Amino acid sequence: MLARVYLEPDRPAPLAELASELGLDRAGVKREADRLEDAGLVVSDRVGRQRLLRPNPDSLYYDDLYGLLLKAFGPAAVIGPALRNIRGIEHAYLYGSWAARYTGEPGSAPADVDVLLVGSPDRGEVYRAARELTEVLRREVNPIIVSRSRWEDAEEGFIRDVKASPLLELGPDGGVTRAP
Amino acid sequence: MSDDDVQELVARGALRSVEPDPDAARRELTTAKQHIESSRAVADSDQTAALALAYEAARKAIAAHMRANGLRFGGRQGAHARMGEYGLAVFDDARLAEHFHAFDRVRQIRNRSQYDAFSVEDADVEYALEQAEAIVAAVEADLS
Repeated sequence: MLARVYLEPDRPAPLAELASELGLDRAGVKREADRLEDAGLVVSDRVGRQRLLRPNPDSLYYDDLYGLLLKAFGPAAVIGPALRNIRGIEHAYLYGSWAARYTGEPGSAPADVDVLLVGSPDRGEVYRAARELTEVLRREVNPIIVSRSRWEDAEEGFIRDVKASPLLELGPDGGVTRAP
Repeated sequence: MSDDDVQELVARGALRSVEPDPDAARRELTTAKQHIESSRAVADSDQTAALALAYEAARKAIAAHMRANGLRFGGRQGAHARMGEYGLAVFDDARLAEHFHAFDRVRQIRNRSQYDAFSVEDADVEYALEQAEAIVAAVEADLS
């Protein structure tokens, strides 16, 4: 529940909706919301009769907690495992705004998830997986496929830009490591 | 073709009805087929142009379908971005749906290659041509 509130601040949900989304009972969600608010980790907004939760960026724990939740439950936790069985992918990277969030750059939750795949996987298979991931994450997952020689050559403007920006390798277990 | 889906798009203002123009549609479809030939002709020497031609072939085929059925995009949102959505709405077929989803991917690769110092690979061209051929064939079959 904390992960849902922290990682999707652009989609604040009423408690009842959170309960059905997370498969929890409403009373339990309310108790948890009260506890999190008492601890100063979230704040509530009232819209009519509804109570919406959002992260509390003024909390002393906000930065560490956001980083921890992102690593445990962020897009990488889902994308790496989903790509594991696609043949021909030699490396999978997260780049762009989400990679910046993972490396501690503050900002809102980006709408798109930029993924770069090195290798020669079947295009159709990758794009189908990206479509499923888009549904799961409720964010557009945009995979770019580049051959190993293109990636290593690094003459291309786009690839130079990607390499000069925050770049994380996506592990098949859902973990991330900073790319060298 | 699912009339309900089209009517819904018209009701939403995403599409508007115009006079059907089957002759112009036929000409546009012929151009789309020429683009596929041209794409194949340059596929080995100029991948960026080949991908752009394959994309353009698919786009023109969808546009021809709309023209023949007296439909145009309404509103201000970019027409290119909604072509795949149109295809998904009117061709009620799971196998074809894959190609209309793919159309949007090809559009993204084409946009990157035009404005982003981004190279196109042989596999991208092959993928784009596969989608364009399927879309052109589907439109041709539906209009004949």
